[in-house]
Amino acid sequence: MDQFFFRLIFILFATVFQYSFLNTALYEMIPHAILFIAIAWTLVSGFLVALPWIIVLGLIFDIVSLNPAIGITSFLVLPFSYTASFVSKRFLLEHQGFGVVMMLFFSMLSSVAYAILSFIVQNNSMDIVQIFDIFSHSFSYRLAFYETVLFLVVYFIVLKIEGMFKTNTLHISIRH
Amino acid sequence: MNTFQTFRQTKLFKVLFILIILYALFSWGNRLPFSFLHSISNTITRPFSVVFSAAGFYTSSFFDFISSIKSLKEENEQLHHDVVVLRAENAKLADMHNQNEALRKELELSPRNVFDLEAADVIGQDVGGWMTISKGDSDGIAKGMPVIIGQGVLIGKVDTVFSNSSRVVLLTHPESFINGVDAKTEAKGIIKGQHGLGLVFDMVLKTDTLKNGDDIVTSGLGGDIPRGLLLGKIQDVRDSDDRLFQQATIVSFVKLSNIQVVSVIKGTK
Repeated sequence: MDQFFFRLIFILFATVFQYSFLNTALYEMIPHAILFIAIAWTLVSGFLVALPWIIVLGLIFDIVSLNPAIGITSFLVLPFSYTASFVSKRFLLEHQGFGVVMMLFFSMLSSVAYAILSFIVQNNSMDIVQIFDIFSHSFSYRLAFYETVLFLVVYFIVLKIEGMFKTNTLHISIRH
Repeated sequence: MNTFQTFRQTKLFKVLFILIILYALFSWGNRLPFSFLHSISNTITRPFSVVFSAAGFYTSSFFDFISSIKSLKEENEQLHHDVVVLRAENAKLADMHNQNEALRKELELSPRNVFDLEAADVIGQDVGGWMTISKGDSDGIAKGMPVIIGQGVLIGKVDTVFSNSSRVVLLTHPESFINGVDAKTEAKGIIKGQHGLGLVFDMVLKTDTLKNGDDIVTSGLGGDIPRGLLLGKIQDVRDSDDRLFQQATIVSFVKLSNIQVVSVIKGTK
C-alpha cells in the first residue's frame, strides 16, 4: 500500500511540475518530463510492471492540465515506452556508463517524434509545413541541454524509487 | 487459432488493446462527465501550481536576463528613443481625448466603455493553446469572458470555470475563432488559431484592403467580445487556399511565455 501511495504522490508531483513549472519556465523549448518518466520507468522496472503506472501518469497529467481529451497523453507516451523496452532488450542496455548515454539519446529522439505525433493526433492535421516547423524547432542545443539534465535527474529518481521497493527474492522450482 | 492465442499473450497485443481503449476515451470522452475530475484535481493541486508557476516565471526571467545581456544596451537606447516619441504622442492623445469628451457631452452621447477587470495570475500553461489562471467562479469569472493583458491586448477567452481557477483558451488554439477588423481599412475577417503556433486573419473579402503593418482589432460582432481590443499586426498578405478570399498572418504583440498576469473583462462599468 505504501508503494502505491508513494508512486501516486510522485506522479502527482511530476505532473504539476511539468504543467506549472517547466511549461512556464521554458515555454518555447519544453522538455517532456512525462515522456522521460515513462521511458525511465520502463527501462528500470520493465515494460509490463511500468505499464499501469504509465497509463495513470498520462491520465493524471491530462486531468491536472485541464486537458478535455483525457487519455491522450497516455496514448502518445505508450508507443515510445514500448519501443524503449524493445530497444533496450535488443541492445542489452545496462543501467550505467554507455548504456545510460544510449538511453538518453533514445529519449531525445523520442522527444522529437513525440512533438510531431502530438501535433498530428491533437490537431488531426498532416500539414507538412507545420510538421517541419515543429521538427526544426525540436533540434536546438538549448533544448538538448535541458533534456539531458531532465532525463538524467528523472532516470535516477525513478531508479531510487524503484530501488526502495525492490526486495530480493529467491525462486525455487522443482520439476518432476 | 493457435497463432492468435500466441499473439494474445504478447506485449504488443496488450499495447494495441490499451491504445484502442485510450483512443476511444479521448475521442469520445468529452461526452462523459469528467469535469468533476478536473475540479477535484484543481482543488488539490492549485496551491502547488501557484508556487511552481511563480518559480517557473522567476527562472524564465533569470534565463532571459542571462541571454539578453549582450543586447541590453542597444535595446535600452531604442527604448529611450521610443519613450520620447510616445510621450509626445501621449500628450497629443490626451488633448484629443479631452476634445472628444467635450464633444460627446455636447452631443449627449453615453461615455465610452470602461471595463470591469479582474486581475489573475497564470498558474499553468500548455503548448496546445490554453492556460490556467488563479481566479474562478468565486471571483465572478464566467465562461466566455475575454482575457486581456495591459490596457487591451486580447489573448483568449475563458473556457472552463472552477471555484478558484479557470481555463483560458488562447487565440492560438486551433478551435479559437474571433471576429476581427483592420483598424485602418475596416476590412473584416476572422482570426483563427494556428495549432498553437500563431494567428491567421482569414475570410477577408478580396475587395477589401489589407496592408502589411496594419493593426487588427476585435470588431465587436457577436457581442461577446468588446470592439477595439488589439490582436496583432498584419504580415504577409496572400490569397486563401480556395482563392475566394484573402488572408494574412497576424504577428502578436505579446510573447505568451512572458505572461504572468492577465485581466479578465467581467463587464463594462
